[in-house]
Amino acid sequence: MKRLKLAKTKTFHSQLNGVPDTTLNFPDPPDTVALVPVTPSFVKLKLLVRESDVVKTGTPLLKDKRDPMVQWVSPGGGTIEAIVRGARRVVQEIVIRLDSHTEPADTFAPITEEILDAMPREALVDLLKQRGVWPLIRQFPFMDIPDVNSPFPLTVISLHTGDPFAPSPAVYLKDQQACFLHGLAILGKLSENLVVTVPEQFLSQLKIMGMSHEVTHVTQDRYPAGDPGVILYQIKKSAADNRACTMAPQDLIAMGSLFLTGQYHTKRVYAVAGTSARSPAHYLTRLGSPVAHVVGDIHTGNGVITGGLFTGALTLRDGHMGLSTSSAIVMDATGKDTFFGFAWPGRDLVSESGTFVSGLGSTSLSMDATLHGEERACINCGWCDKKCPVDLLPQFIMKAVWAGEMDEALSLGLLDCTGCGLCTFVCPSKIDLAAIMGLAAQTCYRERMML
Amino acid sequence: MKPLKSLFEKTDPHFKTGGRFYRFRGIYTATRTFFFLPSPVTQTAPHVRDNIDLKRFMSFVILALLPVTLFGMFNVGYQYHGGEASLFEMFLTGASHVLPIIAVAYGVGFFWEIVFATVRGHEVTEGLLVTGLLFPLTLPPTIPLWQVALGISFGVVMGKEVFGGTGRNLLNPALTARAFVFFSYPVSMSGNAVWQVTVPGVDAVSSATVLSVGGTGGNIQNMIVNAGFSLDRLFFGLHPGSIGETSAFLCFAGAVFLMVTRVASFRIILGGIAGVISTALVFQALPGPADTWFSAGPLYHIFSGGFALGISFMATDPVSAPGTDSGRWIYGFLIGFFTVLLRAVNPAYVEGVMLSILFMNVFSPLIDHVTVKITAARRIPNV
Repeated sequence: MKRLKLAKTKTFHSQLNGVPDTTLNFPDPPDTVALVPVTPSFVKLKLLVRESDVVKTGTPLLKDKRDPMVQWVSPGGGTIEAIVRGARRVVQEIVIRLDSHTEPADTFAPITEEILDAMPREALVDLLKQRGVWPLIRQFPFMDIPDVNSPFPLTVISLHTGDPFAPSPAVYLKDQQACFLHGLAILGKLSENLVVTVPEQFLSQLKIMGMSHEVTHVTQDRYPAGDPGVILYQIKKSAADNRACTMAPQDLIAMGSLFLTGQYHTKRVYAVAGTSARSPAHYLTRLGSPVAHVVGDIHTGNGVITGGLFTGALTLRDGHMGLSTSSAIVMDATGKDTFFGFAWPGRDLVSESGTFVSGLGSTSLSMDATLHGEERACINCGWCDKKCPVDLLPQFIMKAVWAGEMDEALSLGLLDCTGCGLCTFVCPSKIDLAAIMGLAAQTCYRERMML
Repeated sequence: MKPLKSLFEKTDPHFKTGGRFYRFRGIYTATRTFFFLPSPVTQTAPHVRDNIDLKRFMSFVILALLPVTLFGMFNVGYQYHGGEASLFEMFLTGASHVLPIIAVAYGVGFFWEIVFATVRGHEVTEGLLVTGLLFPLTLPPTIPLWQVALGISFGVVMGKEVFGGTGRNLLNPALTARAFVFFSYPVSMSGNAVWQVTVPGVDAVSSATVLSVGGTGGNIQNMIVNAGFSLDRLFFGLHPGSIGETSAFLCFAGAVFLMVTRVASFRIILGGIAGVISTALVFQALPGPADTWFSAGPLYHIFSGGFALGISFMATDPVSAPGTDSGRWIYGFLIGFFTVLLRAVNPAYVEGVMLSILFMNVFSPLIDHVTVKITAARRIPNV
């Protein structure tokens, strides 16, 4: 077990209110679930179903236009109630009203370890594609659906990114060890190297559960030390490792469970967190549950961030939880004006800079989903590169991107960006550095596809 | 606060798109956001943001400059009265000479800022808050106000706005302004008579600054002390000079404050001090004239002239400094090096801080270019 070290300045160190406690609650099942494919914008999806079609759990709903064998499957059995489209008619959600009596499921004969061992790689990949698991694996650097033609040079499974609001591995791994191990065995067949990491704070709990043998690396507790991209940056040895893959740990469990039971795994543990959340804790419920079902009632003016604190999207309450997202953070999302806002000592304001009194103490603070200032030109202060966990110079990459110098941006390491969001977070000029770099990476992908 | 807010809310529509005064939204928004810091809902991930913004960032520089400014006012009065008046009286006299200079710098500076913001249709930015205070601090207290107005106009327009405004300038605007006045009106900016406000009707007392000592044979360090500039006097600042430069102690106190809050880069400041110390030691060791600043040694170089003010507040302006950590060390060190070099080998022009900082401003893009390339070459390529 190796220890990975990230400089303390490169992690988020404020203490926050509303961290989910480790109790696991079991809410009543929701009326609807939805398939919310969270994919990079260059992945074009094709619908396989229409509204009011009847589907089973595991029925393919979407396919990738580049490789029609790659399918996304239904997280529930019932009738398709709505297909929600966003800008340019991109499918955002396929909402399924669950059949309350007998929820039908698409099943197959379980694949045990012996069968798996004898299975050729092609057959395994085909099965994963057909059963909707392949798109849950993502390949660096574009976070694309993995390339089927070559084995992954490395797969990074991070049990916890260090995000204070992410679900605890001790909670979601409980009673799921067998599925998790089976999932690892499947990945082991696809990948040349397998890396499983866990933050230091969870190591003792994993030892009690008997899971610590699988862990190859221990990371620091603070975000983003456990981000798969950050881990990859720290352990990669050659340019070949840039094509590493990763997978959310609960998706890995789902993959293992699919093979062990022959049925699509439709449960997820969601961490509900944040200041305004009714009771910050873990909730075991259906994959793709409505956000409102997961977080309960919230005050008007509050918003819900689904996904990571720094990477998640601010969603509407009538939306559903996306694939591979595992936390819902409730926080104040109303714009405000602060009287002489620039001059307050700021005892209760979150800041990674040294310019607020809160930086001196260690009390827990609350965050809100507002900008705290106005956008300005970059003043070259360099706070973004101080925070970057993969040692990029975000301000120079941003300037290269704006100047249209893609080659320059690439040589500065644009594709190493993991999108952790800390550069945007600390920027005093409120520049959306992470978003700019993310868009540039996607542009880079498109340029390559056109050649 | 409530009535003010409702006043703003009533006025808002006139400055929105299609409003009667839409063209003047720059100045309006600047006023409004000064009183009420806006915090709209974020549009892209991460949806949570740090509470720091550019207004607070710049306010911290002002905060660090306040003791320097207040002491500068006091010192101007102290020199006027020769130290023989009540503290309050001395401060008041000084303030009556310094405040008009600051007021003109801010007034004219904001005028240009607003003109450009209105014509270009962008916001009035916070950079001027610092420039408008830094520039007066580099001037002698006797400077005619029209020269202040001309200087800040040149600094803001040619030093900053022609490049596109805050964040895009190559040179430090405050120093550009000072350089303009220095080379255009040398009589107001050099010599022995300008550094002290004198009683009208009384012959100007020669009030040389410490840097003009030397060149008359003997040992420079003794000459400095004999001229009344002992190290402690230089350190605490009760001697003639530019308004804000005399107290090395308060400048460095401000520098420590900015370094602790990370608003200023400690690499630039420490690099600059290291540059001065090492260069001064080298010159001291070299066989050279013993009666000029060539042999003054590191301590006198650090505490004399505008070095403390320059390295703490001018060199640390992030826009005109390099953006990489290693670049900042190099930049700071070379500022220190050139400061001592100018003082040591050019007895006719002894104050080298302004020119060394402007010189290194010009080179910071090159430093960035090289250091960024070196940093990028160390990465495992991912293209």
